[in-house]
Amino acid sequence: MQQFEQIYAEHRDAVRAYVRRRSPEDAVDDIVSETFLVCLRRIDSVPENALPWLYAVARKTLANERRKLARRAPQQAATQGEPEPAGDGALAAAFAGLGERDREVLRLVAWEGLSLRDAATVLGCSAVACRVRYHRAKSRLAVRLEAAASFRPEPEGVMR
Amino acid sequence: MSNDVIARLAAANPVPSGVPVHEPAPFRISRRRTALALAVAAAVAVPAVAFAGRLADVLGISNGGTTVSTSDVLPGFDKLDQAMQELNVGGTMQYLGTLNGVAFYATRNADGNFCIAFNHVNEQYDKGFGCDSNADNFPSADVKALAFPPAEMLEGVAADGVATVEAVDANGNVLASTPVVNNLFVSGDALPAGSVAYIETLDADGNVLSKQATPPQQPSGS
Repeated sequence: MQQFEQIYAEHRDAVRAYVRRRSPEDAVDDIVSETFLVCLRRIDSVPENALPWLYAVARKTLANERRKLARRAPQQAATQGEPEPAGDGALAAAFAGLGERDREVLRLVAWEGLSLRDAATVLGCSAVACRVRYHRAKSRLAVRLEAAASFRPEPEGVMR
Repeated sequence: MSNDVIARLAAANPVPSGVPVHEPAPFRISRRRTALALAVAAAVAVPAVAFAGRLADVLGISNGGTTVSTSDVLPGFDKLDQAMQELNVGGTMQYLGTLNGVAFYATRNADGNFCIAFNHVNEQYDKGFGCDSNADNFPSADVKALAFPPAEMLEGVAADGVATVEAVDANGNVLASTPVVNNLFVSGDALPAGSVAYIETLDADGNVLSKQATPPQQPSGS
């Protein structure tokens, strides 16, 4: 149990930040609580590098919460957005256009600062698959950003 | 270009690393499941003792309390009820009394670990529960107080012979001090996060009985 105490003290802020980056603020406490409850239950199976494992648990908990909300209040679920990239509208728009798998691997690297090996643990895939997914996602995001940058809406009143 | 994309995305992190993350105020839980986080947080710091035969011996303190149904301890707080079940509390707990508006309940779970539930009776959400199997043994020469949760509030259960419980920072400054009544202590002061280095217990003559280091606190941010 000493192990749990240490894990909680070391990683609670990181787990909370992870959840905040993916969930509305009013759901954060619930999801962080659930994540550490799972950790407590399964303390014997937590690996030495606990943080990616905790992220993986939080990710599944987030998915469960979204499913529950979708069943309970479909309209609310549809409109309840996750936090977007902040302060960069073009990036936010391009990022929103990616699939969730792409977004998540990019978040793990750019926001959580994980290595691809640790990101693979979170995503439940092999390191090779994660690397491929990451590079494809990064390219897709770059393409979308370039496309957005080259798009110039016509000024009002100009007819062609 | 694509590496720039990652740098740009990192710069747009909605919860940047190093920025303090939101923490719910200690014991000021706004939702039921936040209480579970508190329960889990508290659980890890509560030491245990071996089982004994009689009730007072089971708890290891003079205040044996009165037996109440576990379901009546924190009614309506589903996640706390769930935590009690997860930690094998059993069907009854001992009501130790109410001090300064905080009702305390204690028992030992199926593993012999000391468990505490508390209820700020005049508050809607200030509830908590925890028990744990740290190898430490309360009460003992080294562990004479269980503050709940450690390093955030100075309230909990103290061993026999403890007259005062103090929260002390790393420089030896006393941040809060509260008397023990019937093995219970409650200080109304919220302690700044991360400020408490150890919990100190004193006897009626002011002699230090124990110094218990609190769990390490991480700075805010990720």
